[in-house]
Amino acid sequence: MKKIPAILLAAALLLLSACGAQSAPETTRGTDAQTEVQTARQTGNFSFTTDNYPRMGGSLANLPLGEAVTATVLGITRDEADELITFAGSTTDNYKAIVDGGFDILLAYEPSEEAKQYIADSGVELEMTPIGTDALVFICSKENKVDSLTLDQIKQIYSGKITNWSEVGGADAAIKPYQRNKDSGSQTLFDKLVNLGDDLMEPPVDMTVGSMIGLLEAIADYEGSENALGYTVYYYLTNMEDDKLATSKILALDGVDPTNETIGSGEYSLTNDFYVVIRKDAAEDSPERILYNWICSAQGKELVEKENYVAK
Amino acid sequence: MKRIAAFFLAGILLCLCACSAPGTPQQTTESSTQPEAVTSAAAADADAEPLVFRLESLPDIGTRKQGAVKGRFFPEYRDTFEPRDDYGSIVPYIGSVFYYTSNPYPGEDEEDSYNAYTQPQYRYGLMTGDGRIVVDDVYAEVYFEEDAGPAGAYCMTLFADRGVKSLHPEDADTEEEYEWLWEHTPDEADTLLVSADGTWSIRVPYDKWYIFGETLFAVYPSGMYENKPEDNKIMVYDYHGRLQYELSGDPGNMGKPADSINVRWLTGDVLMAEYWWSAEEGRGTGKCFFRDKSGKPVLETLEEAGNCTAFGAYVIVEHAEDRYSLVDLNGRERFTSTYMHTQYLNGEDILVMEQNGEYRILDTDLRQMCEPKSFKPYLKALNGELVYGDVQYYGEGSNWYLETDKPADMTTDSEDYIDGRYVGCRSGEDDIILRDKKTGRDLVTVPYADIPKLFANGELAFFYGLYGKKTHQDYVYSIKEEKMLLEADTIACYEAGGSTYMVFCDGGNSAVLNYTTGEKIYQKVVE
Repeated sequence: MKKIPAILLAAALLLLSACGAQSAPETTRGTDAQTEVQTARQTGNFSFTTDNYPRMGGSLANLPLGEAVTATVLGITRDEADELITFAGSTTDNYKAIVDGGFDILLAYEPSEEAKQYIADSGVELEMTPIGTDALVFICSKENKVDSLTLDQIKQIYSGKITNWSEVGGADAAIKPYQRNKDSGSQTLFDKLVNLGDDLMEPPVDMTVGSMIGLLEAIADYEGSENALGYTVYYYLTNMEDDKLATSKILALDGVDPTNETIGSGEYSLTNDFYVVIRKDAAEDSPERILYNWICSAQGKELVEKENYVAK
Repeated sequence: MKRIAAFFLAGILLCLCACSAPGTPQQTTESSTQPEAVTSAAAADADAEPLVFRLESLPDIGTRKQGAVKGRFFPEYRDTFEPRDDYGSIVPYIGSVFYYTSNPYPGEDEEDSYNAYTQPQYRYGLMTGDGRIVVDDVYAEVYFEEDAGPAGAYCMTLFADRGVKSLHPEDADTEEEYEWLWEHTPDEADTLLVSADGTWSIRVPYDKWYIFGETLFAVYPSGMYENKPEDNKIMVYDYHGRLQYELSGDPGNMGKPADSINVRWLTGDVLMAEYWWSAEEGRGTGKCFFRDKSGKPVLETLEEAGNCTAFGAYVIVEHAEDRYSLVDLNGRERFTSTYMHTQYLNGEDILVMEQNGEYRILDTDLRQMCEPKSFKPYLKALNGELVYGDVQYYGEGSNWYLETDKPADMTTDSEDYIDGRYVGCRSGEDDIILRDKKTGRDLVTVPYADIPKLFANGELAFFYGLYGKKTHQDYVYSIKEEKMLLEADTIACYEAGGSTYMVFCDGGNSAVLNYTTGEKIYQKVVE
């Protein structure tokens, strides 16, 4: 039962950052290029303030979008926006939290089976609109000779049938296939798209990584990681942690490199949508419903694209 | 765990209701750009148009800083610390957490079952004060010695394995996990000391260190169970990491390794090094060596039957049962006694000794702190003052006196000095009350914790949670704002480079917050 505190820890961080250091000098403004915050003229009949702004959470890979949405509608810096939102805990935890009333709105990847069951059991209905597409990508060390795998090879590796890189055109070395914790968004994506079911091998105890950054470090940073194989979501790696690509590389799938274009066109096959989510019973004039509608609007789509996501 | 959740929820509610700190973002759209806009849905007229948020165009909000981690000082993975002059300051962070079951094979009886609980073990790295990783998470433990030079120094145990491992708590309590942990248990005799300004570091094959005066410190092994006599080293360094001298080999010419080594220092920067050799039968042999800053002997080697105790500029030597002497640095025996006992109370050492049938309480200048007593006094601190008790029997009938012989009101079990203004009072079995001595107010009661330590110029009180129950929690209380700021599985506070840092981890999620600037310099979330 550490999941709820995982989210609450982030809230505590928010608290500490915002309230704890009252003696601190101005912190976020003036520290970078965000000093000058442009505010756009509003043409609607509703205005968001920090008081009425919905409690927003979601998947880690959607954090930049959450920041951008918040900064845009409130006319504040990204750093300030970051303090108002909580993109922590697993995707499953986030869905549970919106059901339980901990969040008003989510920007999140698809719910896991566990989350779906939790939602069903709760009797709470959620309203979800896909706003963008991301992809599951496979990564290995830059030193690895292999540049591409087929989906079938990936299935065989993660079911334990292919165990050596030489079987897929690489060096004679055992493959170290990392996995993510089962309630992570990345694992949900893997389970759905690779679809190994019961054939998915049990990972060795030291090859289950509890965080997205942890997996990247496993592949990119550690001595002996040249034989590792892992997976993450494309946006997170290429937009949030692209320094890891200095020592790791994204493998092509069936000869197709994942890019915004190939993901958008579906040419890269392992794609999945991410969503804006509210409770279905949110009132028409509730701030979360108004924000939901805006994110689903053409202007919301423009912002999704501006943040370098593949918009729906 | 519900308690934690409740605490954080309460914190969030507090934040939402009451927090309007200077750093809180203010909406910048309250200008003439949208004078007609409704900001409260409830205020909208039911017959009016549906409420819509829309902007004329998207504003330029800039690009996002890369990474959940702010970046790295070096682009590549690092498992060794490289001293440099340009780090600014160095702060630990928690990079990963292992969970293991303390007793994976519990028996059926209640006590065994109680002891079988899941414990976290943290793995630490080092980063600059602005959040750039300098060393990856390869350390098993971190202690901060604030007196180690002008900047202080971190003393860390190296983790035996550098591979990646980060498990979710729920997956932890397995036999496999337990076995893994044992295989990777850190080698206790491998210690790294790193200056908090990052300008020097020392890696030594010993697990003990001791701050030795204002300019030197000593590192040494704690036990000699399998060592050779020549391994009996005490190495003395300055605060630039330079070896000054060492006591090495077999200084007592005993021909066998000491069973224990203990290092203390005496006023005047004199190192007192005590070696102890056990005997198979009867008494063992203790030898005590004294060295000045340059390593020169300042006092003849003392041989003792019990042990040597540092007391200010003096040494208390236990020669045999019921025979003690207090020796100065000229080797002169100042007192002999059948009873000598030192205590650290209210920030100073105090000696209780027997002389001519009376018991005297002395400070480190050997001044009597009150009139001699006809009974063996038991010392405590009350509200920042020293009290002594005639405690033949604990409980009713005990008489307590201030050092002025005025009766003292011991209404609590004990009170511990924190600084000039605050005291920590034990309440019940293990609760601690933080009391403002100036106003007499109890600021906060923290369950199952140790006496707090103050940080950030007295704005924060850090409570280290006590072990001995199934969950361990640390706490940070804001004295300034009179509210609990943080409760987590583990918290450490450090003062480095003029800032106070809070390093904490809860539920596998970790963060580093610069309290002074309010900036979160590191956050790692278990997704």
